[in-house]
Amino acid sequence: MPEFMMSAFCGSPAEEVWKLLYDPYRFSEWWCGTARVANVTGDTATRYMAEWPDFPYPTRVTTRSDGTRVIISCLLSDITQEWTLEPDGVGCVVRLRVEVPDAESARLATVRDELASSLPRLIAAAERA
Amino acid sequence: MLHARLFGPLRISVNTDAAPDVTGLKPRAVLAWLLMHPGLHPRESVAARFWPDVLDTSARGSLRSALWVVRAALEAVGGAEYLVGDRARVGIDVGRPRWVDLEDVIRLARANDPGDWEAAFGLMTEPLLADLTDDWVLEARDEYRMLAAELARRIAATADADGRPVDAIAWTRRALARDRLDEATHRLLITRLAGAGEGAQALAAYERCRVILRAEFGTGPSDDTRALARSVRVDAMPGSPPPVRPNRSSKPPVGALVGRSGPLSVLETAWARATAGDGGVAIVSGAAGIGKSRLVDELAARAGPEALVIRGVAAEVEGSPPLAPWSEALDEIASAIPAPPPSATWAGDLARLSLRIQQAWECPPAPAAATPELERIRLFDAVLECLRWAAASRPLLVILEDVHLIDATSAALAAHVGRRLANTSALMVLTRRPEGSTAVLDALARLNAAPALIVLSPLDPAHGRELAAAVAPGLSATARDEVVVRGDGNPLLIVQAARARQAGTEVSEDLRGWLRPTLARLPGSARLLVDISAVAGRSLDLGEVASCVGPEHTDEAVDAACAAGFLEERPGRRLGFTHSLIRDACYAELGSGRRVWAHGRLVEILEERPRQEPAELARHLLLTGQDQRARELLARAAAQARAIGALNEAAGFLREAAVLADGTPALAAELWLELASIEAGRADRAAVDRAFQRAVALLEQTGDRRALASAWGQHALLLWTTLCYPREAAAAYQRCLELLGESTNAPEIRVLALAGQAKAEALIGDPARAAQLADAVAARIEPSDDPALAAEMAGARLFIGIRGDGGTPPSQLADEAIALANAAGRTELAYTTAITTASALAAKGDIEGALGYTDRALASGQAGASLTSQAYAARAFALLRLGRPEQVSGAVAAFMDIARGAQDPNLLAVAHFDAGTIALIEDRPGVAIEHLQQALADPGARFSRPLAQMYLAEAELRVGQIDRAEAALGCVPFEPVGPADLPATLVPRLARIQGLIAAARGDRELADRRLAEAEAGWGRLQGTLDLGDAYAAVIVDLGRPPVAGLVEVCAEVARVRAERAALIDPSGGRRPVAANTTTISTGG
Repeated sequence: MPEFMMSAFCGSPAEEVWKLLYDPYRFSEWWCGTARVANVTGDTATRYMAEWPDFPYPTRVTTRSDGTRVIISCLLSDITQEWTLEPDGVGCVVRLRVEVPDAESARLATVRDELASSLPRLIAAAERA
Repeated sequence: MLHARLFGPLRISVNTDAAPDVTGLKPRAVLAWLLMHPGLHPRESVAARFWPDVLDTSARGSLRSALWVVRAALEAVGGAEYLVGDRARVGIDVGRPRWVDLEDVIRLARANDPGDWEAAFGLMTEPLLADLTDDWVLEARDEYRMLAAELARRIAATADADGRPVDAIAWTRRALARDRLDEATHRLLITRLAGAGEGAQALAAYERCRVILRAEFGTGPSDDTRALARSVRVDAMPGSPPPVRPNRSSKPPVGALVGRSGPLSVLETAWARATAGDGGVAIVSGAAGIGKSRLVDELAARAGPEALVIRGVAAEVEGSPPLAPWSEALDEIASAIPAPPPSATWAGDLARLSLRIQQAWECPPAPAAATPELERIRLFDAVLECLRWAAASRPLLVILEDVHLIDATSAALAAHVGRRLANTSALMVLTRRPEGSTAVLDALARLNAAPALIVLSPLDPAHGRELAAAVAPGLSATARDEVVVRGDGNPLLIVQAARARQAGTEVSEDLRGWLRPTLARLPGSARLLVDISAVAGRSLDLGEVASCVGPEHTDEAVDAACAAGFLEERPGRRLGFTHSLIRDACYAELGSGRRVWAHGRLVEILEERPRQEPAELARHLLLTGQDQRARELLARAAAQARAIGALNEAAGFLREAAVLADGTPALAAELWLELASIEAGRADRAAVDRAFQRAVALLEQTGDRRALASAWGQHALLLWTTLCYPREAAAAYQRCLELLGESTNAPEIRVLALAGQAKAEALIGDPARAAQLADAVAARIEPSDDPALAAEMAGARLFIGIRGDGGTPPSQLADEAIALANAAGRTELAYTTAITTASALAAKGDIEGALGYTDRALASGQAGASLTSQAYAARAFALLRLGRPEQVSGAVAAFMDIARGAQDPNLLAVAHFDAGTIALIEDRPGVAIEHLQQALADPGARFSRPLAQMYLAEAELRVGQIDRAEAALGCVPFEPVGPADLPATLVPRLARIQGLIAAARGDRELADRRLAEAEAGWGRLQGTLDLGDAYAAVIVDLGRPPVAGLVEVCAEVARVRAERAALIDPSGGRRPVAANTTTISTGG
């Protein structure tokens, strides 16, 4: 299964990044291409892309059982983002590992570009908070 | 014609062709029972007898499987037609010719002819169903053993009347061999021997009677028997005095205690406090031989004659039954003090643990509790009540020795008792080595008990010399120094080295070398006793001693072994090694052949006892290579351990039995499945999966799809009920149905799987499909057929109602489900349903209704600790929200007490979470911090950890600890989050606390920004939170309904608004919001 990783330093504490990752309503603040989010129920939400405004992407936000990873999974494509936060002084290091299922491997470059743009936006949003 | 022999191992033949062995304990037991009760029986009653703890439908499914195995065995020899039945009934065809030895025994015993009685007796030379160990078999085995004794007595009486004294004596001896505790038969033997001119043998028979009665009941023979013996003695040995038994005290006299004045003083202080009504626990710790037992013996000696000293010792070898040290201690209580009044119901509970209580207090054992969890609580409380009762009349010193070897259940009981002795006149002293199990210490620490700790160090050389001089006064100063150096500060080694040196042995030897010459000089009977004691690994009672060396040699053997310093008399008429190191040395001195023989001899001795411990027998059988018998006994030991709630031990026994059964896949699978069920009771999910996978692998080898489907069904039930993993339960039920396919004829398994799927769908899937499945189940059963299953389906419909199908109100569905559960005798199910309903009503804001259902649950009878604790927690939250703080503390105390008593770390952590939440709402932040910290200390407990961290942060803030509040909040991103945490609500919660922290730091601008963020977050959730799904998510993830209710978004919005307003106008007080408007949330 293709995968890639990226990381960056955030000048705000982990809580600020965590709030952005866990609040699907705020996905559009950092996740490139996300127009809006609706129907947040339990750990799932419906994401609508700016490019395909009428096409719902069910998305789940959860954690690994030890609590050290935030997992955002697209329930349609099975692409998963595994976010790791690590305290670093007053801020934190944000790491991202993305797994793209074989069936979606053609979209690997697109997904990488999308998240490479999203990561700085996430950090900026956290630092602004 | 069918021939069945039930005495001995079950053997079947048809027309002289021997049937193959019926594989599996349950199928064999079912066949045996049907043969003992020929004719047709309702399937449900047979199923309930053999599978009492499962749904009727499940039990019938298991019965069907067992009957399939039985039929296959009979069919192999053309006897399948003997097993008859229809959908409702099953049994052995009484219309076909058959010969069953047990039926012959009954017929012959009823006849009036001594020849028939002899024939009946002859059929009973082996124990009934020797290869089965079910409780009903053991009862029947006893019954027929007593019948054999009665027949032998009748034959003896006839022989006596006919003037055939030799026959009369022989048959009287046979009667005694079957019923050795019957004093009247002992008298008959003495009389007949004396009558036959065998005065010496008559006196030997009297001596045997005396030893047996002393060992079993702690009493001597009755006046009649003693008078009879006196008359025989006068006739046999005119003028000679009666034999005098040397008077040994319960412990041999000991020399002065050397070098331990400090530790003794600590113990004496603890004892003085106990005698003044302030009891407690003391732990004496130190290496082997360092003098722990000697120290507590000294305390016992100084405790005074008015004190009651009881003692239990953990066995030095594996295989002792759970709670054995406590049984030993309770035996002593029963021997020392009179029976409690009949109103003390705890005595009946204790009688299940102590044969002496049954006999001395004439107290029959009360029926065991419905579940192992309840049984454990009842036994623990009964032991505590017994100790309190004993301590009320006399100061009580409870000594538990070698707790580093103790079983987990005994350790838990010691901790349970230990923390409740504060207001009694009882002191519990535990001795332990630094290595080995720390179970007791851990359990005491978990329960916040603070024992007095005494650590014994090696003796200094001066005290070493003093001790050597005391035991071997003739030693020269040089020899004494040699001894002290060799002993290296260890009192036991110094004593043994000094004795050896005095006897001329070189001290350069080790302990074995020092003991070897003395061991070699022991008389044969004493050496045998030492060897058997060494393999036993525990003290022997005098009955066992008499069986070992023979009654006529008992005194000689005991005296010699004690005089040589190997053994000592212990309280309770027991005999044990003076020290475990001595025992180890004696065991090591046994050659391998002698050792195997000694284990085998011990098995014979133990099998003669009125009460046998299967685990102990199994351990010795394994050491003699008798694996199959050991396996059966281990399975029985597991069942017994489970029955008293000792699940750790039950799991250990069963695991061993399953490994021993590896050659027979069906049987091994049965044992692994049983183990999975026990592991589920221990809430060890990984162990459940491992055991289940082993069972599945074995069943796949057999190719029996029906059995495999049944195993998946059982697994699903565990996942659904005991473990509470509904999603995985649904998948397991699905797998069960796939294995059955369309063609397998297994209606009971199919209906159970459909019912399971209905319940799972009701909770986590599509309510409409759940309703369809429930209808499908209803179409297959009549409520009167299986009321429990009907109750389960009513429970599923309740879930559908809670998730908001808009039809029947949940309370109406709940009433129906509770009524059905009660009608089915399923108290736990009724209880669960009431709590579920209370939580659902609380989640919907009907707090009065919720309180009604919690009270209904609590009034409906006894349930397990987990359920009772949930009910009290739900009640506490409801009372809090109804503004009745004066009643809240009682409910909190109740669930905390239950959780502590259960000694389940998960339950205790959840209780701390609930108590912390309540304390925060009550505005007692200090108490909240304490509870929440304890809850968070258990990383595996099932409550919302992020929420707990936020509550902790808020509590810290209220006591002015801003940095600590920030630290707690900083942990939130690193806690696991699942659907039960209602993740969408966590973000505004976190933002709110951030706002409060900013406000506390005086950063009004940041505070307002964070509170605004929280307000916006809550605002987005208004009207979007599906309470039904949230409710289900809590049950799925946390294994219990949301007893605190669910989040109230409107109240949260209002609170944050008020806090923002207070920020602008801080004159409103220290905190902007009154405590009683604090909303509470899920997290269990």
